[in-house]
Amino acid sequence: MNSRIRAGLIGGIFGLLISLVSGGQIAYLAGIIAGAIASQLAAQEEDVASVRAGIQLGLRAGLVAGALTALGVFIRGFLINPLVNVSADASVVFMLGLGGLVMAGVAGVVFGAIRGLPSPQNRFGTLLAFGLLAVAYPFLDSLLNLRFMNEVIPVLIFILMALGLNIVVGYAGLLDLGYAAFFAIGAYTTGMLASPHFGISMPFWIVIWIAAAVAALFGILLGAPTLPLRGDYLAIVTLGFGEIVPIAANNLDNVTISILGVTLLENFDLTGGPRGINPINRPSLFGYAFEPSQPIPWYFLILGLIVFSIFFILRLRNSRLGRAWSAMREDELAASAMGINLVRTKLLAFAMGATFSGFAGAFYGSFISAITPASFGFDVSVILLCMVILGGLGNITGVILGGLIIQFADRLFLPQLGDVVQGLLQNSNIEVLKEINFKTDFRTMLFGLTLVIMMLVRPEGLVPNERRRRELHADDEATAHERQTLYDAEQA
Amino acid sequence: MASEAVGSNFQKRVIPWRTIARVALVVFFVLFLAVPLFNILVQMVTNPQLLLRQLLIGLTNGAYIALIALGYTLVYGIVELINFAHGEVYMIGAFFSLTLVGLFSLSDETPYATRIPLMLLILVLTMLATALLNAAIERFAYRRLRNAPRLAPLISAIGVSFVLQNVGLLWGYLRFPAFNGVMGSNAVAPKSYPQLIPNDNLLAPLEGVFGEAFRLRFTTKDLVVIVVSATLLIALYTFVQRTKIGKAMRATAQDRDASALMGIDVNRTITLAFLLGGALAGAAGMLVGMYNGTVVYTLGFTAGLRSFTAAVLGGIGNILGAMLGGLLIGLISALSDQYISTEWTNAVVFGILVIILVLRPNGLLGEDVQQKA
Amino acid sequence: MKRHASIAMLGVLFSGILAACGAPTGGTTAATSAPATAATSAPSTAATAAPATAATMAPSTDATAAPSAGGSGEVIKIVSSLPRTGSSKGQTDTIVNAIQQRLAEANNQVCDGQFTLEYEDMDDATAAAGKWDAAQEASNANSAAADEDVMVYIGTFNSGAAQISIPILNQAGLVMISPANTYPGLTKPGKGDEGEPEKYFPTGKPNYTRVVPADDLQGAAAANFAQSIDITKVYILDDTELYGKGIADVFEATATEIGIEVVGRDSIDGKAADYRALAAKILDAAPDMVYYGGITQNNAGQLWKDIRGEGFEGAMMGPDGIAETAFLEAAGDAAEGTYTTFGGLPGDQLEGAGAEWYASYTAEFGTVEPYTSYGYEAANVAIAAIESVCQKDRAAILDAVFATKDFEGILGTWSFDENGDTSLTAMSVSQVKGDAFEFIEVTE
Repeated sequence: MNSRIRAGLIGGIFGLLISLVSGGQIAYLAGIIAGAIASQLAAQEEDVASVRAGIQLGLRAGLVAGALTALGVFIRGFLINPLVNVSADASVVFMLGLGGLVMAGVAGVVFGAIRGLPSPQNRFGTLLAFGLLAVAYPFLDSLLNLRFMNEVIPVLIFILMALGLNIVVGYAGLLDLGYAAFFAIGAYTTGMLASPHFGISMPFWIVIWIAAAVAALFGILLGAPTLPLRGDYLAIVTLGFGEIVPIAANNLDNVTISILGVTLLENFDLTGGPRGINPINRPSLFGYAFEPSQPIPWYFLILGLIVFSIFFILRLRNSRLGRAWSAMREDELAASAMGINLVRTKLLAFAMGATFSGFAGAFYGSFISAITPASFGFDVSVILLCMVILGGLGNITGVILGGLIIQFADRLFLPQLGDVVQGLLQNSNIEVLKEINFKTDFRTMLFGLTLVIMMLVRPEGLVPNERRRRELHADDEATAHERQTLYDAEQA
Repeated sequence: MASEAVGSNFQKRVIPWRTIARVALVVFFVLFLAVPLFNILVQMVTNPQLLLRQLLIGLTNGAYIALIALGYTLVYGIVELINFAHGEVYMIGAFFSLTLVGLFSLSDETPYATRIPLMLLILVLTMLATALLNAAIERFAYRRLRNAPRLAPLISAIGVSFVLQNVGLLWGYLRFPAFNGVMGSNAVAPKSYPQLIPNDNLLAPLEGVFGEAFRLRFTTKDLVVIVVSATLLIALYTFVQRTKIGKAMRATAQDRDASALMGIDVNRTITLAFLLGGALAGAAGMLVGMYNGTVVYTLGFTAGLRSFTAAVLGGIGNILGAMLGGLLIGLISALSDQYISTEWTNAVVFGILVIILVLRPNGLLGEDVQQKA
Repeated sequence: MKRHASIAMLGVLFSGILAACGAPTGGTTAATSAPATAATSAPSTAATAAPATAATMAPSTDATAAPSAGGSGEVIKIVSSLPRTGSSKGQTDTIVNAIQQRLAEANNQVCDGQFTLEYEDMDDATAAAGKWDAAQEASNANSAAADEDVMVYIGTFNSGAAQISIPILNQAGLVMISPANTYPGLTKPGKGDEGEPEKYFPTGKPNYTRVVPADDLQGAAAANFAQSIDITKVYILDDTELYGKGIADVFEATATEIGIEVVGRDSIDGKAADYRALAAKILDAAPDMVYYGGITQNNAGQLWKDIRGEGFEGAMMGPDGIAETAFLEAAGDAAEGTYTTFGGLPGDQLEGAGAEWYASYTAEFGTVEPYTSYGYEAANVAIAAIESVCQKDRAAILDAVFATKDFEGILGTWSFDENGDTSLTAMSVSQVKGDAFEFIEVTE
């Protein structure tokens, strides 16, 4: 009973924050999110025996979450809005709050019911439900007039990359601080093959594969020197590559190669220098050209790429290679003693990780239609790492969730929070407070605090990898090892 | 060399990748690098004065990089955490000391009799403040994560560094009259540190030895940086190697559980490491602030990255290694700026880092310690 | 299993429908009474609350949260997209202030109250990056394009960002007025890379204007000035960015052309802690002058200190990117004697309307930065164009902006040419003396 309320409260916090900060019709969406999270969390805490039990569980958790969401709406509507001189129409606010509550309840029931299905179906159903939510999002967005579509696409690009980084860091346990290098390589490959830069314009659908392949190749090339390295020494070398690639991109606009005095190439513009490559061709499908003004096709394209990647990554994880990665992650020496070829396994981890970054780079290049070296700096690598670790190393759901939270916090939530607080300060009667430009002065701090607090609250990540969690608490739970061996036996 | 490698392959018809790689490397070296490297050597020999000057610059820069690297390595040695916030603590140290400089209204006109004691006082206060800050960060952001997955505190550290960077930005708003205008008029703009140590050339008496165009310089500033850095390095080294607390720190670094069993208060030891690391960062902040003359809130990240690299290069966790790594990075950067091109310097530094680490996977002075899970 | 799956699907669809039903009720009322967000309220607040308190912003509107569900044809929105987080914040704060100042002067009304003006201050930087971010600029441009109320897009600050948003806004037919982009290739055929600027305009019809003169003029003016003060050997530096490298290239080309010897060229890393090694290198090359193409935020202050600290006694010069108080503070004593070029006149040299604006701005917000007056002028030209057509129509306003002729703004009387460039070609040269820029001369 308690766990349901707690789950509802956790989910509700998301709903409350979203409806409080963003305001308006997002309350409905906030309700759905809160309800879904609450229901999922509740179902994780206790076993759900039947659909009926699931509905009950989901309803309670969802309603608790919905109540908090509604609270957020009311605080916004009745407390904050009057303070910033917005005339609040009580009936509208009331409707929104009620809407949030109902949506949370419905989402809770739906997800609870799915969790109540027999074993294989419940996983499939949950995936399907989230998938449908993702597919339905653009329509919700336009129905609710949220206008988040343009923010959502960059977020999804980052998530695609985080999925790739998860292979390297989460599965293979290789700390990579220079992952943006492969993103850059993918994007530059696209730029070179599908733009007026070299006059080559290959179709996007071919370029994206080439970009992935080139990124994978560089994954192997850059991975090779790191083979003898471990832990943080590996991290610093990858960081080095992450620094070298953008520098090279910035400086290779004037390449002159001469061997022993014989000039092979003179003043060749390879990367466009600081100007980058612009414009890059956009994809077109059966005569339909993708345009920046129409975000929905782009949304489905990147969503498709993500779904494809998830499918591929899941297959990889359960393959022989995937098991070799976890073996290597746990103990290199033991793994190599068991006959795992460390060289091959490590290089494949880098290559596979880089592949998805290559996809992301290709998509990014044609979506933005321009690339500059400055877009691929260390900050990208660091944020990706935060997304992966905060979400839960080695867990795809976690990585996606972590990515959504961090990216939305940075791109949408914190600026809006800044607006709200700024509005409050402006309308306060204290002169000193009016001097503060909250939106721009505190943004970085809020972002940093988000990272710290979330990490402190969930040290193992939002959705920890089951296997990992057991390993970490091996000392506490005597049975963990037994279960582990059983699990491994099953897998084999 | 080639035949040797082939001979060591017992299996038949194995493609001799190793040999191929070596031959390729040699060919690459001869074709692409030999001529430029020869050119650089010629430049060095024909203008020894410039080479000497660049070496001196590299040495001094290396000294302060090493000083920041020390804090990294100290903390890493004990908790195995890449403390990304360290660079930001250094930045806060610079701001803190600059504020005090303003408060005491020190300038390049203050007589030395009052300037030097005040500077020492500021140094001590800054070290104290950053030590406490660093320990507080450990207490609130890292301690709870000590038994979490290895990478969790890394993210926490990144978060803290964002927060501190913002604190640095807000610091620029502290334009109180008491600070005598050290914060300037624009919060975001870099702040100028008054020139408290003279920039006069100590080598001026040598003029004439090198002919007409005498450009060799080694200033009082350079000297102070080297002396202070060296003093702090030696003091820290002695502390860790000779004292009982230092021994406890080393023991905690080696095996936390075992040292706890031996009666060492692990929490206290870790706090002490953070206190020391913070104090070093504060000292570096003040020293580099005075040396470079600029304090800006974005200062920490790059400095942190550079010195982290230095620490790893020398063998992370190793105090002498951090010093060696710092010096090496200072020298490589200076020479690359001069003889290759400033725009490639970072790439050169990291390139050499990669090569060194490939040859010595545990850093220059690192020991081969099996990584803890 | 199939059955269960379909239940799930139905559930989600149901929730979608419910949301749909909820939407109209909330939506229409929201549009009229604006209860749900502070965002919609902003026009009134921003309009009436005259910015009496210095350096503050009225609560800015937020397109992402504003449920402006059509119906209100009365609102015309002007947005700006500038890096509001990170090191350019000092400059962009003043640009935003100036835009808001202009709007407040118009009482947020145009065409005798036929339209209400709304302003939104968009940030094209992210906290994670600490500087402008390509994806963020693209999404700002896309949001602006998608919002039917947006009629004018003031931005960008960085020329690199403009390359991204111009094509997006071009397809939306939305006019852009940049207060700060000076990279020549954005407007001038033949002055930039091959294919510039046509490649930024997929519709073939330019939509990009700038109130600030481009760098081809400024770089050349700087080189000519250098010759006039008897410089014969120059060492050129840049900050590796589009703007800095571009202007340094122009300077280099002109200098070579007019017979100044270029004794060295280097690109600095804007994040480096110091430049002593480079300073020693420069001294060894023995130039009369060091020219730096770049911005203050790429560590120009440190560069100056190190070059002077190494004992360099020649002249030093930079473009408008360092012609700001931030540079003076960053470089401290080392700034003394530095020459800077600047497109148009510095704020305190403006005459007539310009002088009045300068007085009122400094009284209200304090320090003026180089681009502040351009921020004001961008808003000025936008409002004038809207006034001239009095229609809520992007195409008409775009044409009206391009048709700006003999506009009497604070920068003087000027026009846009067919490329969208200002007819003001005057370049001023100033020198740092004491703690201020002292105006020296105007070159055409």
